Amino acid sequence: MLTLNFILALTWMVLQRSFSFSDFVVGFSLGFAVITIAQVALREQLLETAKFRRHQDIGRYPLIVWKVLGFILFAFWSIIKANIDVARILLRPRLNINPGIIAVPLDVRSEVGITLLANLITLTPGTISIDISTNRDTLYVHCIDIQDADALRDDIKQSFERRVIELFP
Amino acid sequence: MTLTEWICFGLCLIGVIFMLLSSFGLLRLPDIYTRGHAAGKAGTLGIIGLLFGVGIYYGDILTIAKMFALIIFFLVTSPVSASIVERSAFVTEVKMTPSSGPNDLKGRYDEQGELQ
Amino acid sequence: MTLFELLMTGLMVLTALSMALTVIRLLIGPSIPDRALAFDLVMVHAVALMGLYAVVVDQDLLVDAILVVAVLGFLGTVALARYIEKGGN
Repeated sequence: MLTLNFILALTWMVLQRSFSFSDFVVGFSLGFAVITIAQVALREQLLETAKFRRHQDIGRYPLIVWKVLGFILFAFWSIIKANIDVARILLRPRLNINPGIIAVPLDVRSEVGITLLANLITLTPGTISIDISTNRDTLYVHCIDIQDADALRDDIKQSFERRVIELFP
Repeated sequence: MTLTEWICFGLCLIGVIFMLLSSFGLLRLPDIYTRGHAAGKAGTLGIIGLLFGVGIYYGDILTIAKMFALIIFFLVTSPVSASIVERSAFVTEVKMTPSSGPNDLKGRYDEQGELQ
Repeated sequence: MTLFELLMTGLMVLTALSMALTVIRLLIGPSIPDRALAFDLVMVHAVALMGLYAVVVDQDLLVDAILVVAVLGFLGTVALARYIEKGGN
């Protein structure tokens, strides 16, 4: 958390565009206040991340960076595809859509992974994640146009969840 | 007009077109759940394109950094606000448009508001 | 007025039109979540208008204001959604 405090102070100095000592003190004390308020949530997050860290990932930093870059490209490509899809549905002269809610069983366990997957599902073609069950194993997803519920479920698990699991188990 | 200004104008134009689409969808789609699709996707892409355009127009490192912070902020928060509004709509039992689609979430909340 | 400023002002007019469409949904929305969603989109449009205006008048001070409006819009939507869910008690 001390590292985080220094990073916050540096960010403050960059945003102020002045690198004097007094600016550092102001930034450091502001960061201190923020961390003091948020320390419970921060500690839970840190413990959560440490619990799911895999030992075989140590020493494979370049591979992980490569995967993250691929993931970002894939996310942007699916966001653009999603928008073109929704635009096509919107501009149809007759609006015959078939919306519904499906349940998707989850294999991701970490909180970061679930958050990332839910956000990605919301940003991609025709699906919005609504809620997650209390024991964190089912995600409820609203779809704007269901042709085949099982195929859609498979698609979400194959294309999105597989990529998220590679980064956050 | 310089090249920078043309690029800025093009990106802003794409952004504004997507935002027009999202507000058009908000008016046209039949129920709250489908309207969330228009607001949560098209709105996000529109604002991202527009902010890229503004960042490129200024071109100094500080403004571009602020724009990147804003873009990441919108990427994280706008799906969250779309899905939290949809959940509040489901909890308060807003009607869905009649269709033959499945509804797996129906009746899954118990009295404490816990989801099975 | 240069051509660039003219084009950007045209974009501002389009954004304002889009904002007006959203405000219609905000006014007629049959349920309260509809209005919350429309409010979120209105805040996004406000951010877009401020960004375009910052380019037209060439003032990068407005960029900081954009940050504040974006955060306020998100917080407002979350607060509204929590309020709807808990039924105001």
